[in-house]
Amino acid sequence: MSKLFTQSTIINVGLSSFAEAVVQTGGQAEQVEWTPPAAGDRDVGLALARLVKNPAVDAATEQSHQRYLQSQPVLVGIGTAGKDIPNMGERMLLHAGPPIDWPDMCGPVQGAIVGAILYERWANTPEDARKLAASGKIAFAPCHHHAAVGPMAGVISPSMPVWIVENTDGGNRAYSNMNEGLGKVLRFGANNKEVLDRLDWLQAVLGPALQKTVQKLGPLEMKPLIAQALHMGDECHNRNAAASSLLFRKLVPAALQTDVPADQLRSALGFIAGNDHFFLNLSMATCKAMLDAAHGVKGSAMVTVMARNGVKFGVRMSGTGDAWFQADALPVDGLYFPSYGPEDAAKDLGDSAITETAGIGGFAMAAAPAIVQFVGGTPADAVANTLAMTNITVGRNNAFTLPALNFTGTPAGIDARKVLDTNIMPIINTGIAHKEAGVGQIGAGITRAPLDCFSAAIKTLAASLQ
Amino acid sequence: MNVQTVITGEVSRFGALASPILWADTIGCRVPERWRKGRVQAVFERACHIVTDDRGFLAILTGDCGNVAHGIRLKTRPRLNAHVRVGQHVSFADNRITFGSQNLTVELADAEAWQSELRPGLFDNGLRLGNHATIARQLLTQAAARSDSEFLKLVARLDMPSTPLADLVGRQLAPLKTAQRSRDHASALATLANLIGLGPGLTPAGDDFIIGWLAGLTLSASTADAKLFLQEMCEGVADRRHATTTVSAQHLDDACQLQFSERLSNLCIAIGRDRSDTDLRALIDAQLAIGATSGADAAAGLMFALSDLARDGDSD
Amino acid sequence: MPTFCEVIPREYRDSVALMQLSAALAKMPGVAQASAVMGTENNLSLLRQAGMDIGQVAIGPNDLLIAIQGDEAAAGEALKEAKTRLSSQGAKVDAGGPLEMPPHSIGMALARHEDANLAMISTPGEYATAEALKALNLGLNVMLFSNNVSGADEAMLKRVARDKDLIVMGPDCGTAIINGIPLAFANVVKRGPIGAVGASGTGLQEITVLVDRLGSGISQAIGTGGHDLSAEVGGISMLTGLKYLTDDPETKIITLISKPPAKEIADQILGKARASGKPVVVIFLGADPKAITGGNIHGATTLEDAARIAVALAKGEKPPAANGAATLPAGLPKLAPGQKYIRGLFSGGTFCFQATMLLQSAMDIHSNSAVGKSLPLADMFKSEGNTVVDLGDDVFTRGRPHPMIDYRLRTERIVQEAQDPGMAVLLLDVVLGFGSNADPAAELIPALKKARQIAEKEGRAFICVGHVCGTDGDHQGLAAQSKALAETGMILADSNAQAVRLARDIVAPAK
Repeated sequence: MSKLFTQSTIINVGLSSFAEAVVQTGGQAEQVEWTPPAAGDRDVGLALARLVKNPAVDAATEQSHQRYLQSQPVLVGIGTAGKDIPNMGERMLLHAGPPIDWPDMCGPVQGAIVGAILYERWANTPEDARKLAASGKIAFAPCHHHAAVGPMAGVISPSMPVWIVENTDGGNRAYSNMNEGLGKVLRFGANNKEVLDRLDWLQAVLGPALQKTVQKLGPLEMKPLIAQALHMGDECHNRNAAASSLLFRKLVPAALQTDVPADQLRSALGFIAGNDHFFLNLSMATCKAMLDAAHGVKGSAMVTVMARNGVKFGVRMSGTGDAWFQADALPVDGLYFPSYGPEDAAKDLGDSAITETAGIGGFAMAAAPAIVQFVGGTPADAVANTLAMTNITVGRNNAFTLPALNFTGTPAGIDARKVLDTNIMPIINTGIAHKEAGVGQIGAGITRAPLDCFSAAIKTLAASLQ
Repeated sequence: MNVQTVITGEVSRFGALASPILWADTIGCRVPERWRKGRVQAVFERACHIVTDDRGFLAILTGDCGNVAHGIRLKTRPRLNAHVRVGQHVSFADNRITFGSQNLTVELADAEAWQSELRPGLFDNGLRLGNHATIARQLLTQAAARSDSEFLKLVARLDMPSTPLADLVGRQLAPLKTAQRSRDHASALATLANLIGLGPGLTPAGDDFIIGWLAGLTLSASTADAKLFLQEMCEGVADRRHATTTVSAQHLDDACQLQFSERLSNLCIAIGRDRSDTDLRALIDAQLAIGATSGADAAAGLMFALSDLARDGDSD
Repeated sequence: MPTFCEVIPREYRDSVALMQLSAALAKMPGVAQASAVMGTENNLSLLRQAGMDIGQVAIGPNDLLIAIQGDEAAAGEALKEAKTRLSSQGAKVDAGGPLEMPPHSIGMALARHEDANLAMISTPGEYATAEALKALNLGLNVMLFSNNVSGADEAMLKRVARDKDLIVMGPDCGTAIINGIPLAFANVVKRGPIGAVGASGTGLQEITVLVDRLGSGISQAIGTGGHDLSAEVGGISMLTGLKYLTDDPETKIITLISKPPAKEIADQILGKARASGKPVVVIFLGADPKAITGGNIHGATTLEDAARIAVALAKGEKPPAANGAATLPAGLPKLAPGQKYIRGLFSGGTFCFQATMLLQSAMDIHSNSAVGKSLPLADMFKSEGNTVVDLGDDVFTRGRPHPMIDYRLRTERIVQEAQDPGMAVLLLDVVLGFGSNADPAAELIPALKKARQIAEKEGRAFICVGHVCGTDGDHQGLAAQSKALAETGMILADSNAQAVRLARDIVAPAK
């Protein structure tokens, strides 16, 4: 007998009065809160419909998700960007987000580029640095093109010390720079003497001290550390207080066994101890290592990169290779520090959305109720945000469990089809940068990945399968 | 966020995020401009009412609400009841409203002025209650079935259990209709007097109904007679507004100055314009989403004021 | 019984919170009435009218009053409970758990209801194909109410459905009754042994309603959309529906409804019908029933006949002969000279089609629903000679609701027809059920009265014939609607076919 004739729930899309009539006559109906997918682009909508429950896409997406789940990110050392990051040229600067040319870069990224040129001694004055940047003699490339990630402006130059995280399951490595703390810092576009001095110090003191410490410590598995931090109120994007402390607890005993001179060790450990966000860059490199493992499965609709360059929001998907799918970044819904307002804000910026892509950050907001005070919400809102994200992910990551949700895993592995089909935009916890270089962070809040990126991704995926 | 940088030894100038700033989006035209101190009178998730020391009144509304004449709408959607307490002191200076000891600040500098665009004579060049009036009636009739608003159910003529409130309201509607038709000022006001303050909540349903009814009269007042009737009604209701709660009296007073809420005026104007590219359902849903039943009660008043007009067109 | 009051100064709650509080208190033992309201004068007088003696309580409009009528001990308990609830309500706002968000896609809805088997889709047509395709890919049957879906899309969807052993009802499918649940524009009818598959929405409504009225019931009624039996689609949904009903043990008799399809498709359907092993009543509206009758196939001329045959077969009786004659009611007013024409104003497309079909043998008939030798209308908004119009035609519904919902177009046209001295009989349909107007009689009566006034003032008779397609289970109520309409002098027939014959016999008495 046809399945149609077994009494069960009717799913209603469209006129809600039809669902009400069904319920009135004793049936069951579920009303879908429907809005046209892909902002009403009929062709993309049809392309999406063909991909829903498509066996090949389902299998490929599942395969990439498995690779992500099986990845074993391990901190293996501290390196130097120019030496360790693959294909990093001598006069190359990496930046956050999708590719962008010098003239188009936003204020904070230009400021950071100028700072990096001065730091590398390629120029002596900010004016000369700008000229050099505009001259075409410096190569600019997204961090993501080099297995790297950087928060905010995300500028990485050859001399900088970098974290090296290896996925021991797949053998791929990922890199990120060192976190400089808050205030006047390169990642917000500042490039004065204080900033450059700190960069020199990172290179001369912190880098070598950490390098010896990590060597003494041996490979450090990152998943258990992040899992523990989630149980302590972090989501490892906008809140890293617990993870930074846990890392510090690992580092100190090893550091004390190295031959790093005591004064250097004191200032290095003091710096780490004073920076609640010290772990952020390591968190990002870990996420990058996990997601690169999932990248490159033909036909997969799993998102492997979400990143912003201050002008555009860019997305890459496992099944569509090197292509970036870009849209204008959305404004941040958040709270501003006193004397700043929305008109001062730069557009959404940074590679740090790699954390959300990997199922932590905003996706694990239920673990970090304190985060919601940025938007005047309640802990219930934090849980609701995480629950909402379960509707757009391939599955959950049981390595990262959430106490508030009875220890279920975080929603992880964004399925671009589900984003487009539900119009639920991936949520991102983020800081807000001032639009002018060097002012720094002026607030924090929540933003969303624009849907147009996912429309473009699905269109390309559908075309690649025909 | 409370960060010390060891290198510089300075405490971050940002400090903790203990003092959030909320940015105002629009400011209603009847929000008091000169006041210094006041108190929080009531707080809900999306609205907060402030009574100033000189007995002025204003409301703070979150970004997902429509504004009202005495309201300040925010750009964002914080849960106000998580930040503000009843009885808290409020001060106003330098374009900023500050709650308690700097617990929360509402910044007005960036906000735009807002006022209701609905006014009598807007459609003097021929108001035709066309499709949109019919569709609105249909949609509201449908909505009545699942609404808790007794007024909407009564106006939509749905079967409903007899309650003292429903019976009383039911007895007022017929005389009000007669008075509306004959533009009999005295009888209309006598009937309205029985509705003011009627209903359990903070904004009693009877008041919301009257506001919707006045909006309907405003929309359709294209003749001198109709305008005069509207004016008499506004004056009469304004005189009687103290028979209800302070908050509701403020809404009534706004309505009597023909300053209707953003959603109600948008809905009325859309019905009056009758343009097929308007998403009437969305406007009605927005209206019905106001408060618990307030939006529905006002919609009932609007429907009641217009139903008579629609019939005029049919009968001769 | 005494009333006890408590005044809580300056306490503000929204009305739902207070109504819930009142309801909860009223349920407590020993409490006769309970009310929590703001202390406005009108609220106080309302309480007094409800028999609660609140005395001269000192209260202002900004204070909350809790009034309990009951014995003293119970009232004390209730007042205590009220305070507890008020204080916890305030706290609950902050501690409330997250709300589950409503599903935003068919996939999300299915994840919550894994047993779901049908998606009902009524989005704008340009998005309907994609939603239907998703539903099919997710293993759901589809009822597609949306129109403006291209023939190519329809054929594609139906092929996908066939490959997955699913059915697509529609596009433009207005009616179905699945497992006793009326979907979209459908009537509340008894369940029973008769299953139906119809390419016509109102046709399906009329047959299910008549089956119900004749004392039998409907197992399943499946709509296919009007385009299903076209060469482009090939009757895929009709064939699937026929197969489903053949396999359905609840269905003893099968009824198929359509306009005459191309011979090849008709042959295929009749072949499967013959092979079903169940009695099958077939109505190809406008085609000769004798040509298809034989074996287990019973041809019918009208929707009414199809229902009558199906019910007879279900009761194990011999199929009745076609219903032809109409009995004119006594006391019909005399038509003035010049009153010669039928004016039919229909909201159901199939009713208009059937009227055109039945009238064309007796008279020249103008219609926007072309059948056999019917004549076109020069202007759809103006009648000429004998005219029947389907007011559900796209020409009329652009930018306004369907005439089953919005009666304005029809009431205006009724008055327009009444002004024409040539009109002899006004012929109407009134469709009840879900989706239709909440009170069609109330919409029609003023127009009918006015039409009568116009005609009688000018010395003409006003005769209106119609039928109500509906049951007493419908929320409008068949009996109530019929009574109200009959009181205006409308002559009510049991079916569309009978109404049409009555109208025919009034203007062209049988020779």
